Amino acid sequence: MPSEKQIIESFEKVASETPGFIAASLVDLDSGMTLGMKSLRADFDLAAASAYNSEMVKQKQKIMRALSLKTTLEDMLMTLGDQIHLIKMVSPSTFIYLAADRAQSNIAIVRITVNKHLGLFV
Amino acid sequence: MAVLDPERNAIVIRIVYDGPPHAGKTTSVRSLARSLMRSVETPLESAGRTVYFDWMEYTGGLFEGHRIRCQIVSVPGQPDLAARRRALLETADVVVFVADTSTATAVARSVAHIRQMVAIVRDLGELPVGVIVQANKRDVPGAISRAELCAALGNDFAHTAVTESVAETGSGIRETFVFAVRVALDRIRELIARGALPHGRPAVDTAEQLLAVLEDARITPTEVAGDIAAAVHALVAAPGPPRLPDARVPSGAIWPPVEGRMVLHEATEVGLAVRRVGDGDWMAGTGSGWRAHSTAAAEFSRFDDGRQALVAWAQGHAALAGLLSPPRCIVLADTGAGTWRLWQIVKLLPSLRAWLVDGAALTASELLGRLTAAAACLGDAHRRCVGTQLLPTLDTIGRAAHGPQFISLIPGSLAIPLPHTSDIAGRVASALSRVLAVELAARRADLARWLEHVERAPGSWEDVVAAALAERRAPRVTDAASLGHKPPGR
Repeated sequence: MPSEKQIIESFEKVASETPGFIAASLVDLDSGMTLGMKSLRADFDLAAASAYNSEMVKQKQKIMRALSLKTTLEDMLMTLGDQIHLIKMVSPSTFIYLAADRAQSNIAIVRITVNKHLGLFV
Repeated sequence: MAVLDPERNAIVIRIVYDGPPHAGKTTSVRSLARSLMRSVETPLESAGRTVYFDWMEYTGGLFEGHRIRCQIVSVPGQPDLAARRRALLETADVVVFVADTSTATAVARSVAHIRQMVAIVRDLGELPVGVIVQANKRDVPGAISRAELCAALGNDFAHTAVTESVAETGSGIRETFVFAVRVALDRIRELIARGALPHGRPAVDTAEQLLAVLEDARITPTEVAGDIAAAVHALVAAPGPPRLPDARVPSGAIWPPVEGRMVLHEATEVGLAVRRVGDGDWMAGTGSGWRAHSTAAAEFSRFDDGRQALVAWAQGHAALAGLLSPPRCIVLADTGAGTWRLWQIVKLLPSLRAWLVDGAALTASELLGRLTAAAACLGDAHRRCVGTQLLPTLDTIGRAAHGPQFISLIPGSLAIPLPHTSDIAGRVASALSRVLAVELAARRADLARWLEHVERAPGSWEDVVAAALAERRAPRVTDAASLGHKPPGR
């Protein structure tokens, strides 16, 4: 597990390569606590967003178990009116949550950038 | 002190930072506060030392739909404030013990303090309070290695998770905090399952209230609770391998719930490599000091089925609790192939055989004493394992303060007890004969010569050792002789 400083530095790399980057965090799935984060917007409550998104991941995994899907959750992509949100599983119990401005970015770019740096968060 | 506050839809937990003076408790809490963008309240400081406590609140994360409201408190480390330290520790849901690892002396002081702390928190309720050792000051040149720290902590802390930090820079602080929250939540999950989690506003909600409680209760500075200085002195082809469990297994998939996660954390830190053994079993941990094992039959396509098996195993382990070495856990882990696998993980402790071999260079008298103690220990283990599936041997039994302990993996079938043997002395003598014939062969003549001059009571364990040495039939050991035997200190 990288240190908090390493996590923040890694998110700085992701931010520099993601047009419209708003915020990102590495989240502990069990507790919803952030292990490290980077935000460019003071009004974006990243800690709360991370916590609620951890519930969403848990619910999705619950659905998968209910459906007896013998596979794993890789990522979740959400398109809002003006934002793109990506949840990317890093390990069975940690995930990256990233928000970007939809007007400046697109899902493909966000996904590629996060995948490119994924190894830094393991 | 954990409480569910329905009004604010929050679970309130208290994380207490403990440790010896100058270990970095306050620095850790302040560093965490910087990381979480919070502030720390310290009611009173004297010459830079905490007199009451440091206090910080942080609400973050979610647990069962409730926000997690953390009260982060550090204790005063000064010996004359031990009563305040105790009062704060008694309210902990999890303790982060900040250990100074900069020098051997500092480690010894930390070990003395952690023993005091555990004595305080171990009797706080039905469920144990989790403890995490945060090895601090890792940046100091010549700092004690992690392995040396674990050795200094000893077997009593073999199941305690150890994280590393440099509090001054914040390195390792947040990870330790999140891990502590996770450990506290495991305990709270159990409290909820037992209907034992109180509901309502927490009795103490602010730093001012905590200060008032400490003052109202007249918790004032006292004399040193224990003699730390003395303590310090005293201490100086098949399908690919399944994914091994790691410290982030899902909730409810590990037993015991609190200590188990710590055991797993420590076991997986060393990097175990998995390999196939026997008829489709999986084993990991060769050369690591740990052993992880999963039988061929312990794979489940559904999590719920695996969990049922986990519960059965947990019940089996609980029934054997007095016999089993404590650093062990059972984990239901995702295999990485859409199935679940049940693992048992055990820390390898010295066996009786290792203890005997280790004594090969002792004098004949000392080695005979050790052989006799090992015989008594193995004999006792045989008696205590009657009616269980545990097979006591020189390799599966180790010595603990309270007597023999089973240090090996539990056999696959929990339900089938082994056949009872009435010839315990014969089995013990046979086991010792093999050690004397192989590992201690060079000492046999010496031991036999010495034994000629030793008076031994018929039916004693010394008599069994003599029989093993002479390769003759072992005598029947009398209960009085075996129960009255006290193993030597070495």
